[in-house]
Amino acid sequence: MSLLDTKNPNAPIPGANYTSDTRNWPWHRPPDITDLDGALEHVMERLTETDAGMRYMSLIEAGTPITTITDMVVTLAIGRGKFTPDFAILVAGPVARMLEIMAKSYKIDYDLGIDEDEEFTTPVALKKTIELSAPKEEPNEEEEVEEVEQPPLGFMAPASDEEQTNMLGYEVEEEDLEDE
Amino acid sequence: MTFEEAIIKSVQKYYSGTDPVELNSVSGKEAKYTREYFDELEEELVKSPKNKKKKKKKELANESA
Repeated sequence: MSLLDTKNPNAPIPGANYTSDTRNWPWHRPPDITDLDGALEHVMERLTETDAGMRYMSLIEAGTPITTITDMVVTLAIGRGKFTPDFAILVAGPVARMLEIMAKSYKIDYDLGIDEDEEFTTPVALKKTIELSAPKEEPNEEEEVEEVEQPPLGFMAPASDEEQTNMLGYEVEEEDLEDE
Repeated sequence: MTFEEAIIKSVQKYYSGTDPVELNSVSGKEAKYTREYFDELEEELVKSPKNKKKKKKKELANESA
């Protein structure tokens, strides 16, 4: 599909999306399950009566958090048109609990994936903030005197007075006059 | 918030003890798969070996009696 080739564009005609039959997609139709128990029964069946359950257990054993597996389970159900995304969010808690029980029964070490990272300031960050917040010391006058202004050295920097007078030839003329 | 984040938040809420009250009230009937149900299921499926041994001993004692 390309619109770059203007002579022969290969892309859908504008408005083609309105002509396609969107009822073909399961998630465009009304959901099959609308009650909590029905949804959990469906998920239980999937977990216990198919290979999916063991696959999920393998993933949990490999270190995948249960919340991620829950996401997979409910997203698959949405894709199959079993329930809506809103309902999937509401069902996520019990589904995670089911997965946890299943993992426990298989004696698998699991990570729930709901632990929030404790936000604390590291000593390095603390030191840096103290440094930044501390009032800056004013430089001594002596130090200022020591600093010599360096002429700009860039290619486009203006020439110094001496150079300019040399270029203009003023000094040369004056010297010549003095000699005379 | 992404869908994944919403799922994590939902699971967090469930584990902190918050239930979807409105959803339960809309259905009209009592929920079957409650927290208690899951706790019982967990007890059934995840029995500690001590309990298993105790049960076996009890069963053997009952059989002998």
